[in-house]
Amino acid sequence: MLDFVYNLFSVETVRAILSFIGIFFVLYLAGYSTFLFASVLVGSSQLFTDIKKRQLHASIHHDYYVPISVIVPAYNEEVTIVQTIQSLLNLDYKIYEIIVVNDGSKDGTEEIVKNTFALRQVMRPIRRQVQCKNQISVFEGTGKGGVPITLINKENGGKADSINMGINAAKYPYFVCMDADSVLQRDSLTKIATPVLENQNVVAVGSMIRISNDSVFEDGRLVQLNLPKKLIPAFQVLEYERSFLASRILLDKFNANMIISGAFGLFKKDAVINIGGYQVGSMGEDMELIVKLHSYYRSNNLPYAIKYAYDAVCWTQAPERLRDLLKQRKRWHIGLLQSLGRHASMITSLSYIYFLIYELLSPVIELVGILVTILAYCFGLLNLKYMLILLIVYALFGSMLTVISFLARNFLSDIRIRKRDIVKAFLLCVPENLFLRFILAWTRLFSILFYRGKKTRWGSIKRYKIDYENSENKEKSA
Amino acid sequence: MTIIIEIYILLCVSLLIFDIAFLLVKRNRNLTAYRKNESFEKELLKEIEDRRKNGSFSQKFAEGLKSKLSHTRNLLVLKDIIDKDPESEKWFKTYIFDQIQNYSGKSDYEQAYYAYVVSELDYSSDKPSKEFTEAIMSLLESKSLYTYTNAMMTLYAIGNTELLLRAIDKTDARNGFYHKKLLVDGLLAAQTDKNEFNSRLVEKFMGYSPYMQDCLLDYFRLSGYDISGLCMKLLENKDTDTQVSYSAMRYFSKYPDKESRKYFLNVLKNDNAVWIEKMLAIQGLGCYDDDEVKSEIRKLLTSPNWYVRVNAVEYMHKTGLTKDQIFDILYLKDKYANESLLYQYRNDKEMTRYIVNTVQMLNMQEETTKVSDDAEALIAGAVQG
Repeated sequence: MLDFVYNLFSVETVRAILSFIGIFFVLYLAGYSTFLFASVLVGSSQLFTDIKKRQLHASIHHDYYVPISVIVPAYNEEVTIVQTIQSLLNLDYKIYEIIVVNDGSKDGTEEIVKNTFALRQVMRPIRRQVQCKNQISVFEGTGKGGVPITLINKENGGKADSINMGINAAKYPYFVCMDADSVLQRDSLTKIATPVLENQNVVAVGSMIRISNDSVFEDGRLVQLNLPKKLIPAFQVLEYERSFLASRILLDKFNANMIISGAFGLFKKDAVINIGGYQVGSMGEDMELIVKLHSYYRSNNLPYAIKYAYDAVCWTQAPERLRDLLKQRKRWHIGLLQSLGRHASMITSLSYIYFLIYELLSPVIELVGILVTILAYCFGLLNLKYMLILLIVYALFGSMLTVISFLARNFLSDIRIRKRDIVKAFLLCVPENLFLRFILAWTRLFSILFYRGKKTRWGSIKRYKIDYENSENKEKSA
Repeated sequence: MTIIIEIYILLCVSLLIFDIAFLLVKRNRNLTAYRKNESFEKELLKEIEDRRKNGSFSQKFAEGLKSKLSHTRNLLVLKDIIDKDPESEKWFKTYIFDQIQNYSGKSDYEQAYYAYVVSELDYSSDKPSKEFTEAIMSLLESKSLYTYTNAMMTLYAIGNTELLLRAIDKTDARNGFYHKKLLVDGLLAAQTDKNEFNSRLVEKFMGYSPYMQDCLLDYFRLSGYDISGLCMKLLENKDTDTQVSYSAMRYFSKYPDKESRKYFLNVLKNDNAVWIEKMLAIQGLGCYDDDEVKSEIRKLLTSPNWYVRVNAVEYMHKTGLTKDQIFDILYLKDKYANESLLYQYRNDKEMTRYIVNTVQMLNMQEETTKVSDDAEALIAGAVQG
């Protein structure tokens, strides 16, 4: 094996490759470190500004709202759909409607929604402003507090197609799309609508996605954040806190956010209709939509903003099995590849370059790093001591960022956090950085290497019923 | 390699230092701001007390107030005191008006707060200067809905007809969201000469966008201003926007007349009319109970649209629905009509029982008839065989 390597490369060639790659990695890491540092700086200054804003806002004795249509696409969601709708009925918001789009489910999704909320069939024509499959039937009714609920049964067409149907049926000028297994915090609609109230050019707002596994809720409100007992979701809690809090606030400052999670995002209906709605057939329909919005507004020189509301929280279930997690990440990464590929004309924008280098190509770059390390080892050019120090510093730096994000997020939001969870976060942050990140990087790499333009379909991650009313999560077979 | 490690270590240390510094500065700034607010509040309370006794503020305080109110935190303190002691408002009003240029240059949320403060002031005795009102008008250019809405509220409070008409023009031209209810409620509450204002609006009506026409029709309907001529003109014009024509129909639901009766009956007779039009026509004919109207609405009891048939049943109930008439409806054996009747009488146990029993009886009758028909057919077949 080693002979083959020696025959292939001379020591001089390896030295030349090493010095070239060394320079590249210094620039790459310096760029990333600067980005992280700037993220913390901007994030902190944003927190200061927001404290002042909140103080002034609290002094105004009336509130303003934009009417919002909440679209919940559902496919075989009989286990979670009722609780999702019930949690939506508990939101602290004045003007909103709920639209459940049943995408040809094969289970009892339709019956359970119809019966629980006493919906009645209406012969309602739905104006097609964006393309989607045909509707089969429409049911309407009202929930707690007079919130209108609409259930649309349609032919199966995928998540993007279902959201498009929801957009067509939406009465209000803004819509929120969310996953059927997610739960919104009671004030989340108020928070996600704030950027729209502050700036009428805002066409989309992203939110903070947090993981609900094993946490305790009362009346739809989180009272006790618990780090999940299982390792895979616990790792994801740390990962989500780091990625959502740090980088997105900075990207927000430069109108450079390219990801709004499909689990919870707010959009201006007209803007989405102008770009033809969600792209059916895309693996990452949520990212595709945002990139399309950027592309449309930039190419037409129209004023617009895409914002991130870090205090609008959506609780979602993280996959508990490694197999499911890998499947999910693979899908996300292919979605990223498809979106960046479709909108390559945006390559001159900084946000595109960031997502290309630090998101899409990062697993490839990491692989090159490993190969070069192996090559250097084979030729005896590797300084093991330095490599170990580098590895330790890398792990500590990444871990520290993770812990800071986790603690800052929870201390700033007045959430009770147990001491044992703090200890657990300290213990888990290193393996999360070293192992999970690594496994995910490989998955992402393989997803690109073996991408063959597969068609999309609904994800089939195992679902759990969560009691968001008054107790800890209870598992039920899905 | 060394460079990478050094960069990392440097960043780790910098991040730690920054986080600690951030927490310290935040704590310190909060404490300082709290102390400053407390001392300004004391000063204000003392000056208000002196003013009540002596009839004027101290010269030093009066001179320094302008500069102090340029800070938003001090404006917050003053607003709080005015809320608690409304009588003191008149002494500070001019000082607050004088800050308009200063706040117009501040951040969106500070502008919004200033607009909110001035919208709460009383304009019945003192009319603000042109400079002030023009600056408020310029706040309507803001991208922030908070600033915009609060500036509009200030204009409603000032109640100048010309300014309000200009504000409506700006709202109409604005490429942003402003909820119909906010505008209608604001116009209803505006302290202006309503007759002059309304007649000017009617004059300009056809020049507005469908959104504004829709808002104004709601405003006229709620304010009780007679625009039946305008509404009929809109309904007869085929180019009228659908939402605007629905609003015009809603106007006639509240203020019916002969013309509207004729129009609504035509809608009911028109098979091509959409369900909203039919629903609104039923509502518009709610005050009539003559045979022609009753007969047309009765036909809609079997409409496949839920809202149409529910409104039809509601109309029939209001105009007096006897058990015999209910039986006649049930005898139609129409699933939709039965469902609407059950919904109408959902809180009346006796009537619900009657409907359910009658439906069951009619179903049984139908089954018996079917069985006997089948038996007859069987016997006939056997005889032939």
